Amino acid sequence: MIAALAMTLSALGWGLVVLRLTGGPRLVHGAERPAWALVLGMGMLGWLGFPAGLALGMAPLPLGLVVAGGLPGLLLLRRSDLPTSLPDGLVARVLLVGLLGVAAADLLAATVPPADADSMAYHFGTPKRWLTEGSLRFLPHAIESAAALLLHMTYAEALALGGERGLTLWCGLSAWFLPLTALAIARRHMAVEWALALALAVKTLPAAVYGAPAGQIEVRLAALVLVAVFAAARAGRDANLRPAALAGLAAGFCLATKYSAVMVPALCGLLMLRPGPRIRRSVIFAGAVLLAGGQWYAWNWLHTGDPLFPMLWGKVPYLPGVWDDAMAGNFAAGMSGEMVVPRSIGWLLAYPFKATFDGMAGWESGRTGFGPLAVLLLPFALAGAWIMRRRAVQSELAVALLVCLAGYGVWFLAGASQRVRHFLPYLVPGLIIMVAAATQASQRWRSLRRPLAAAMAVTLLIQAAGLGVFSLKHARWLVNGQSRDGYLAENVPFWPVARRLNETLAPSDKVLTTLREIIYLFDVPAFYAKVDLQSAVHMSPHASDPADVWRELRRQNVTHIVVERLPEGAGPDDFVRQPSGKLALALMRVGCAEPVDRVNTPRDMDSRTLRLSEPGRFDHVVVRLGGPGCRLPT
Amino acid sequence: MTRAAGLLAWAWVAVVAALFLAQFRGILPGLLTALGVR
Repeated sequence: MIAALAMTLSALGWGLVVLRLTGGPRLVHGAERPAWALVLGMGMLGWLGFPAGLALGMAPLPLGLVVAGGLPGLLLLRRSDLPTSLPDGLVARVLLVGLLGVAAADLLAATVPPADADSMAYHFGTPKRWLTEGSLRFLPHAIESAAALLLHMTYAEALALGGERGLTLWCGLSAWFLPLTALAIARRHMAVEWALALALAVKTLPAAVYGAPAGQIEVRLAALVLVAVFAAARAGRDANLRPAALAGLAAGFCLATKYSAVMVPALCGLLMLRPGPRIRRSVIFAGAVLLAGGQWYAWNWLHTGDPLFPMLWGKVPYLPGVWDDAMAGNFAAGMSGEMVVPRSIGWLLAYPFKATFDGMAGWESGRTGFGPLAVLLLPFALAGAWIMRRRAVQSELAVALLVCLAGYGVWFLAGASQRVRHFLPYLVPGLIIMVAAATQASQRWRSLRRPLAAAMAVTLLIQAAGLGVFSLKHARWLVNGQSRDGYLAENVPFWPVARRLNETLAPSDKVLTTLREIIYLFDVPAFYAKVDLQSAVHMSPHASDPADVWRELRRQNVTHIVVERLPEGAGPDDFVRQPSGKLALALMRVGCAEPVDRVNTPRDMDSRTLRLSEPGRFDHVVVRLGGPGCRLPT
Repeated sequence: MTRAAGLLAWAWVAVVAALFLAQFRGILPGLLTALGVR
């Protein structure tokens, strides 16, 4: 708890320093100052962790220095930055109670052990590997290790300083930066009741609920994008150049957070071309973007030759041995599943409605979607836009709307995934704009007031119910006094595999596995060998040459292989079902491997929150490499 | 005019909310299990 709080205060301090040094005083007002500071400070914590980790190692002391370094910045906090009284009125008070209720649910969620599969695989798995190895060793694993990892660096800081509980609490706390920033920006454009309702709606969006206590990036990236978009909208009309630096830093932090955010600096950069000192403003913006966002791309380029590894395969020269055509094919095949519907203008227009009412399974809109608010607001917002049309040219909301619409278009037509939660960073500015416009309409036409309030109330009730169901398993954990082991056994189907190997392997051993759902849970060294993301060990779907397999495994110091997801009672003949099994079988046939253990677990579950079907069971066979009859060179 | 707009707005809210909720009818058994009802 102390580590997560210290990181939050440090983020606030670093952010206040950034605001002071750049265009903060010209761009932000009132409650925006601490909210924007938290977001920018989160970026600073991640940004500074990189050189600290490189130079001094990934250990508590250097990472703690980064966190401690932000605390003196709190001296820049002004009395006027903090609210001095609660808002008046019953509605505002009820909404505040609602926000407190959500905070309680978040606290509960942040105290249970992490179980989200993406977090196990790399959001938490990669920072844990850095800390275990004590260094930022580059691993050419596409998407999950060689990527833009600004926020993962903050996870490493939380894990180093506060352990697992510190990590999940930091994730829970930093997920609040988004609704706080939305509230602060919205307050400039609408009454306090609507701003509070909007913040509550944003915080209870299924995509936000799902990602908050886990390490999912989008909910935190959305906060960075929100600041970047509004900073750029304001900086672009300012003759002073310092706000451009602030907008550039925010956009650069977005860039450093996720490959898919690479378009944020481009879209925000267009706003630097508005009338005024265009060239100087753009140069300063671009310099700040490169400074804040370039480190992970330079890191990838240095180790692979591709700053966007492996997206530019075939377009830029690669360093030898990092990637090959076969891996590029595997990667493309893996990514093709992310494209559920064609990238067409028709689907571009239909996607928001289809995803709201009847989403495709691959979009994951049923459990990590956007709720009904955007569609509910649509006619109200259009009416408001008609009223505001003459003032729109001057409004930062109109500029932000253009950026969001362009972002949506680029994301849908050129992005790598159609998962609905990936659009969250553009949705939140969009919701602010829609609520602002809708409230304008309700002020003009009084007959719209009650239906508009009902639209928001219905949204909040539906989303609160969803949050309540999501929180049930966390409440049970608290009430039942369940152990970490018991919680993981109920919520992570393959946890028994990690538990068994943690008990039976030595620290000098290393296990190869494709079970991404448990990578973080290994206490013994593990090599995550996903077929389409890495080429250090070729997980060929075809028969493997034992000598090649042996050489690649020895190079990675692998001593054991988990042959996963086999039918109960399966023998070696069934190993061919899995790429890992083919590796094991190739070595078993030449006397260089033998099965030594078998772990029985539930199958993958459809949902941890809703038990939609009774899962069957799998066997996972642990194969030890080597043996007295092995003739392959060691 | 404004009365008609108000009625239309109410109808929109009701229809959108109903359509949104309808997509979750398939998870009702799982929801009841999660709630401990069955």
